[in-house]
Amino acid sequence: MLKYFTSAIIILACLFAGKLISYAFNLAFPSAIFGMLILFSLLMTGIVKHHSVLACSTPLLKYMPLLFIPTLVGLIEHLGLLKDNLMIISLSVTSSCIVTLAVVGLIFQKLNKSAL
Amino acid sequence: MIYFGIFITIVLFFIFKEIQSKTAWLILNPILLTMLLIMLILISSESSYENYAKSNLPLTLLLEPAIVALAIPLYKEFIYIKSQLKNIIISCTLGVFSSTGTALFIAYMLGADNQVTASVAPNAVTSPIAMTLADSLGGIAALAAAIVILIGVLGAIFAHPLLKLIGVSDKAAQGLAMGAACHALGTARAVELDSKIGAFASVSLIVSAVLTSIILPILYPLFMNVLNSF
Repeated sequence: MLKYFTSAIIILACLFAGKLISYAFNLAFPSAIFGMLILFSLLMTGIVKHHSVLACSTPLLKYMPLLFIPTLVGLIEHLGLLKDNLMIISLSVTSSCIVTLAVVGLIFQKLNKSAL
Repeated sequence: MIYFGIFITIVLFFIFKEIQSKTAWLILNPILLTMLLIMLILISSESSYENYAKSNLPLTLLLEPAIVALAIPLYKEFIYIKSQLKNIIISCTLGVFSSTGTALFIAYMLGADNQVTASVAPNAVTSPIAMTLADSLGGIAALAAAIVILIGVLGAIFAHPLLKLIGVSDKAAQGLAMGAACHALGTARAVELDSKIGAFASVSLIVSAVLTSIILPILYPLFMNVLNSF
């Protein structure tokens, strides 16, 4: 029971610290991602041991898709926008995906070869 | 009745998850199917999204702590990739610029408004992060997440053949590209293909997500200013 409590406190403290920084500096950067970077630096510096967060982080990560389905259903309120922009969205997103695959694949392959 | 919304979300998700693991068909994505079925239920029963969202608040509130928890896989992968860190960061940074840049440029050129451009920009990162990013740029979180999942489903099917076609034969490079362009679903497919491809895919999934979160909030206003000045 204690391990759930400790890990929940650590995760919430990082989230809260991230929110505080975002708010204090009025940044557009999402505060939850700030919280993630804070937890990551605590893990890297060894201040927080990774097994002390596992009790809560494991189920959170495992069921993460479930947590964003409600927001996803909110698409229902933007169906008109989706319909009007269907062409634009599909074209921009598929080309973006193909370009990214090619850029990352080819560059990393080249960098790795020149290193050998 | 307030519990009905959250009840159907959970039950449908686990049913569709079970169906997918039985059939192993990538196209039967449980997130996508749950979303579509709930939308159908809401429309046909003439219920409001607002009430459904209220009922699901306990789930939605857990999303931010879950994003913080992503630090754990990042930390675990970090130890594993240390030796190749520099090349990985270079490739993924260029990947972030090409994914956000291409999407923004094409959407803008085709005349999309700000809501749409801000929703297509984070198309290569994992959904919860794409949602928070789109939201902070003035886009629609739900649209961004739906785009991400569709790209992931398509990417899981077509990415690997496409990479081989353009001459990317190195397994590490294939994995890195799949994680950078097709996030979690591409990574899941990469893990199935080969353990080395899978390892590099999960590294780049998480590295790209972090890099996008840092780069996009700076790049987006810059990009829009430049395009608007023409």
